[in-house]
Amino acid sequence: MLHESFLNERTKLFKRYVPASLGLLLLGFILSFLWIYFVAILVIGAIGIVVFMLQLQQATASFKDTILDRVLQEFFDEYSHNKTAGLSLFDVMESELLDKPDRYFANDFIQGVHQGVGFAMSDVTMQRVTSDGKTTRVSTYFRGPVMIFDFHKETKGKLIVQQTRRAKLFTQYKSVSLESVNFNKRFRTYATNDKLAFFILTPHFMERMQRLEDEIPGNFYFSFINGKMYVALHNNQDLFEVNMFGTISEKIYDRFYHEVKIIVDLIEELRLNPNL
Amino acid sequence: MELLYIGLGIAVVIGLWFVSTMNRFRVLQIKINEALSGIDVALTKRFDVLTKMWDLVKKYMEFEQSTLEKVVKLRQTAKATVSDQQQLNTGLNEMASQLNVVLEQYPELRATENMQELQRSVQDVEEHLQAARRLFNANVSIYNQSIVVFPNSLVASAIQATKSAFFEADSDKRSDVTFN
Repeated sequence: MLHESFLNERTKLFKRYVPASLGLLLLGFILSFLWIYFVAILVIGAIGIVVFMLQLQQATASFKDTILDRVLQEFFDEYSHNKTAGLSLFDVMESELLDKPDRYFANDFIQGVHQGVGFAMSDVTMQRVTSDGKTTRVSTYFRGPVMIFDFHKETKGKLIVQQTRRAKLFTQYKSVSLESVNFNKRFRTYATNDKLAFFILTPHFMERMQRLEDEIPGNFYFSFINGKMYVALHNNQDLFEVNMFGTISEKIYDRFYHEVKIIVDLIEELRLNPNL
Repeated sequence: MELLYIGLGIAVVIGLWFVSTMNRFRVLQIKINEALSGIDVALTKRFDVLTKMWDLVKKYMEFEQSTLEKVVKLRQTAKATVSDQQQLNTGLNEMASQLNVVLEQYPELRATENMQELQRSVQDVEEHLQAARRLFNANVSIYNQSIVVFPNSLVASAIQATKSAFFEADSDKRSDVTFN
């Protein structure tokens, strides 16, 4: 089992580095009256701890990659994953869904094709930094996956749909009321022209969007621009992360599975496949 | 004197409300007309695509050509009214059904590149038409609701505003015709 081999490796690393490093540090303190020994032993002990942390980090990353690869293989024939890269700020801003951040972080870039629909996603964190001269405050206003899908319907214009909670105002576009009272209660719709909204948001599409909102926790933001569907899901989660010191079990596979399934659910539930 | 001022004030407020309500009705009417012109555009496109398709399949047709003649006549005489557009749509539905029958009988015709391109266009036009129809009906619904609600209904009856008709899809052809 993957998680068991990772646990063994973690224990091996721990046994190899931690007792010796801690022992050296302790010895350094005991011999503190002899300052030369004290410094030398402290340095060696600290190096031991740093090496241990680096090796554990590496082992965790490789464990995560293996698990994620397995999950991705289960869903997609074509995919690529890069844990350090992410969607560019430019791509995210193209969606028009989120305000420009002062600090932007993106990682776990996944790109692939499912049912003939191309997609790209990454985990995104956006922060605002405010300062009153004395103190600086950092607030996170978006944390979650941002996804881009190929959208087969011609989109001449821009359409933005967001959940009523935490909805942003788009004064530059027309606010559109669809014929579904329930949909209007749950989502706010803005478009460059109202016909585009009615063209993309068919009764079935609206129903499916509501179903997705019921099934997946978090706040959904959708936009349809230049043949692309952008989805930002503010769920306050850092996807595909493994805590180096946390509990390791098969649940990690299940968690990754559900996190990747968000992409699959969006493609299948919204029937983005043009041939359907 | 005070009473006169109060009376004048009330009259001004009522007058302003009347004018703004009337203007709102006019704006809603304009939206309905815009949406109706959207239907007209979609129907014109649908007519164009179906006639092109008709030209391609006419030699395979054993039945009479009266459907095409009827639709052409409807297209020529159709005005920008809901009932005219509905009639034209019904005629186009009939035309599409007949084309579908022929295409089902001649799979080799259906498989030609030209025909497949036209079928994709038909599907696209159908989707635009459906969107235009839904937008029109949504605007009509908002307008109809606003003129029957009290006290707006007082303004509506004063300016003789009446309910607008919805663009109904034929019940038996409510779902778009699909070409297999």
